[in-house]
Amino acid sequence: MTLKNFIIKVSEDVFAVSFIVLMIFSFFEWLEPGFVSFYINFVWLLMIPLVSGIITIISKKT
Amino acid sequence: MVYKILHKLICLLLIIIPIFVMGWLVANKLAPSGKAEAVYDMRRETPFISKLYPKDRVSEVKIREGGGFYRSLSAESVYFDLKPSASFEKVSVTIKYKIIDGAGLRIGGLGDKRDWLFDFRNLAAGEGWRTQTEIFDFSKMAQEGGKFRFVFSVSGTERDGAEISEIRAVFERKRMTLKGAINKILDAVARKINRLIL
Repeated sequence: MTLKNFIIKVSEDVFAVSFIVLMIFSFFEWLEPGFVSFYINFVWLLMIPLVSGIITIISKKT
Repeated sequence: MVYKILHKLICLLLIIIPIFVMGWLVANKLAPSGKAEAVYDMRRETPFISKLYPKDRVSEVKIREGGGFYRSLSAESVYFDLKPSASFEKVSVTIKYKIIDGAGLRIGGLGDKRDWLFDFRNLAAGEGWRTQTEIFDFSKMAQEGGKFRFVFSVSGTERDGAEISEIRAVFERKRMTLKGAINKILDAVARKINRLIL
């Protein structure tokens, strides 16, 4: 595995997991307001899939 | 080879971290130990203790000598709300305060909303910053949409009779069993589904 492949694979995995986690946390937040947002900033939760998604796209194109 | 091992390690972390965070959130919500604590240091907001209000009776945040922050109470009644994360039986409210010469300071929990009756407790007067804890029973307090209202009542002075540096609330109830925790989660899910259907 090359460094480029490694970065692509890791960013893909981070994107997939963080996106699923974001969906699950959003569901629980809707179910019980404050369940997540009282303790974790949703902006940071949104940043992880966003950044990892951008890295995946950029590293696949280059 | 190194990248493969590293990739597997990262995958393992990606599974463990969300499970750990989820467990931490559930523990925070259910408070299985029967205790939950919240602190309002007059600067950073917390979801469980509101800011002091109305704004025109409270000063801007000031820096305390020796560290920390405080706000001055400039009129008779200044309120704050406690919003516990779950259902608790009682709360220990610890106030860090300073009474300015000749003034009196009381803290009260709203007991009857219709008659606007508060269960008042006197905060001891003395030199410098003091700390006092008062216990309030939630079953004897009026609930306003999951919030419990408290008041600081300053007497004997026209302006700036007291300064408040910290409000610490320790919510308490009986320890929760595993069965109780599962029932509570299932109840919450069932209630939400019922609300959606009806």
